Amino acid sequence: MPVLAAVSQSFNPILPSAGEIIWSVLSFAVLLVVLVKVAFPPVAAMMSKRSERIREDLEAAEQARREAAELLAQREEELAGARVEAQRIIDDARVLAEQLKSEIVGRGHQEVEAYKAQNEAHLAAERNRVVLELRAEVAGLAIELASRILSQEIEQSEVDPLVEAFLAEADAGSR
Amino acid sequence: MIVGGISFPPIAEVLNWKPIAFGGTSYAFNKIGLLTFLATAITLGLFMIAGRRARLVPRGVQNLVESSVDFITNTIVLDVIGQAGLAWVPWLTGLFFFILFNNLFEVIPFIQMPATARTSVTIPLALIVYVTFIAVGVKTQGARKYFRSALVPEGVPVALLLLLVPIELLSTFIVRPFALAVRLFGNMLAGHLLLVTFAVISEALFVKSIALVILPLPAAMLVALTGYEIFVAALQAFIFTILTAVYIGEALGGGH
Repeated sequence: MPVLAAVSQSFNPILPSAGEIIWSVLSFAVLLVVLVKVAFPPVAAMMSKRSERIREDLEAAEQARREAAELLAQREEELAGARVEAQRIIDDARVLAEQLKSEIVGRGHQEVEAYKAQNEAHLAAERNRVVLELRAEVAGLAIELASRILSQEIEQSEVDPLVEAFLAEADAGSR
Repeated sequence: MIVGGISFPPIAEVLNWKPIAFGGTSYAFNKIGLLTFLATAITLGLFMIAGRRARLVPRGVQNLVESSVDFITNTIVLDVIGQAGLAWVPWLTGLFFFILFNNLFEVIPFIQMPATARTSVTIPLALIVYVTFIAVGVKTQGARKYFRSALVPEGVPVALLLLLVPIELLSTFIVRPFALAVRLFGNMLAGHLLLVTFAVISEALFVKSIALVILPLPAAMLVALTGYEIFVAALQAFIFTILTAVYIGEALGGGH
């Protein structure tokens, strides 16, 4: 290298010079002191603040995700519970309706039966009463007829219209 | 110096900067001193802006600074030292940015000089790291235990220790600072000289109209090397910082 060969007699490029050493050490010392004491801390603080913020945000996001999942599970559980409850209410109502229906139908049957029996009893009593009345009427008429027959000795031919009239009278009386 | 009709500047012209202030004293302030202060100012400026306009969602400078801190925290500190090294993040961040900007000055127009191409910058940095990791080791483990763990590998036959202890002494306490300083200095100086060389060739060819036909080659090389030097600037800053983290991690009790 031609340049390297051209070393000046008075200047050795490898040897340090006192002035340069003093100023470079001084500037490096100034850099270290000011950087460590003044300039670096705010940057480091900002970086750690950011890390902290990111960590907090991640934790918050994780927490929110966990809460959302819990809430979802809770809602699903509640929904399932509500479905079961609704089904139970429907089933209960159906059973109750069946019970009510059979009860009402049973009661209706009973009432019909009771009404029928009552009607029948009433009819029987009426018939008995009519029979009794008829019997008394017929007895009266028979007595009256007998007395009429006994009071007037009449021909058979006369009796017949008499009987007829009596019967017609009795018939009319029984109505 | 003239090679093939092209005048190359002597290396003193490329590296030896005249004093801007305090000329003639032992604390002469020249371009290198100015650049190191510029690196400090840029780094602090970026952090001040990032810290002052800190938003929850980072943008612009804040994004750049926070990405860098994140990178240093995860890729360098946590991977190399572990949780115990988190207290060293600001320190290592400062070291990384200081070296990075001093390297990047190599490709900044009108500056075009990496301050780290001077041993005046890399040797003090390496010595600061050297003193720091030894101090950390002594403070954390106690002097006896620290030097014992650093020099005497466990589970090695005593006979071998005669060989290993000098090697460990050499590698840990002598070669380390030297390697740190020379690696950074060598890489940046070589890159700087390469860029200067191709810039001089391009300029010379541009001036000599007859050579214009081959101009694209050195010019293209200059562009390609500039890109490559940006990569080297970041890589060397990363290597210096990660090695510092390794040494501090060992001193904190990581052991071999």
